[in-house]
Amino acid sequence: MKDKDRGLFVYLPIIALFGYWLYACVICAFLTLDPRMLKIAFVSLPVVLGMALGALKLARSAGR
Amino acid sequence: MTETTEPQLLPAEKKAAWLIAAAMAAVIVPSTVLHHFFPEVMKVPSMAGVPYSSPGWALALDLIPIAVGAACFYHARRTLGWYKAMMFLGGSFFFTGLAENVWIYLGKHPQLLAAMSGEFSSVPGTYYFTRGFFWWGDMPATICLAWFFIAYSCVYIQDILLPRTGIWARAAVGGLMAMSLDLWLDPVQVHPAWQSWRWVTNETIKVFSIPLTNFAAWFLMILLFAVAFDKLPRLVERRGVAGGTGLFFLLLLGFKLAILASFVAYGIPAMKYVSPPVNLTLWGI
Repeated sequence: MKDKDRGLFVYLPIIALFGYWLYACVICAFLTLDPRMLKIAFVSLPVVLGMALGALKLARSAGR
Repeated sequence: MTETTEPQLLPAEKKAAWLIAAAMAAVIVPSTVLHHFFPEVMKVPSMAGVPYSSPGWALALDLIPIAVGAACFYHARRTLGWYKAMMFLGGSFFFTGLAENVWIYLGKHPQLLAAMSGEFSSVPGTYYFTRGFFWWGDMPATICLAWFFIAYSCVYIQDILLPRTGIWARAAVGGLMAMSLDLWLDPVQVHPAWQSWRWVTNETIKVFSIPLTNFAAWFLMILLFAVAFDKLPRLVERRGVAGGTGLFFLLLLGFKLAILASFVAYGIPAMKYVSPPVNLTLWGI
């Protein structure tokens, strides 16, 4: 795949996982109206960190 | 997952891909019909008190994982080609779906657990799902689809982060990411406001009131699936498409049985010696 075709495509699995995390964890936690559900958000930091580092590494490789 | 051009599809690969699609349809269509129209056949539990459990709501909420799954499948097809994309989808769908259906079945028939060990004689069940429009057995098909896109995304990220590391270490990173996702997802989804599934088990060690084996399963399922998928090209190279595909699914079945056996081996001493039960909790969750 040429660089010009990469665009958002290379980020698609990360965006997909982020979107699902946003829906199934963040939004659903807010909708419980139970503040304890938001307090334990820190337990998903590893997956958020993984997504962020993955996206960062892809952005850096595209910039080369 | 580094290929960037769509490979040519061989006839045997096309046949394998179609067989997987047909197998998925063959389990989803009858399960969905039975679940909605003949619930007594499937012994579908009561949905009393479960929010958003009408078929309309279930279909609307199913569309979210379907959309996410479609995005990941599109990416897989473009980068890995039809055959490997279908292997990833079918492999993760049947690997996780079979595993969960077995656990739910054992929960519906706790005498089977008691037959494995007397320590399980007090186990009232395991868990069951509530909401879903499309089903495979006792499991919403979109949960299987979620396993697909979570596995796909985690494997994709692990390969980006650790491209030159061995598969077991890379797969462990993917498994840890998935487990971390579920550490928040599970307590939220079983909250009374959602009740997407209900835990019945009296397992003695829990985290946020969720059985420890659940989080171990998330880690192991993604780890072992990633390892099996990594072996697929070599299996196909050595045994051909048909033989390699068959061995891939046999390998997944072996991993599934190993997980089940390890949970039984863990459960016997855990039920016997961990008393009173332990719940590692924060803020009473």
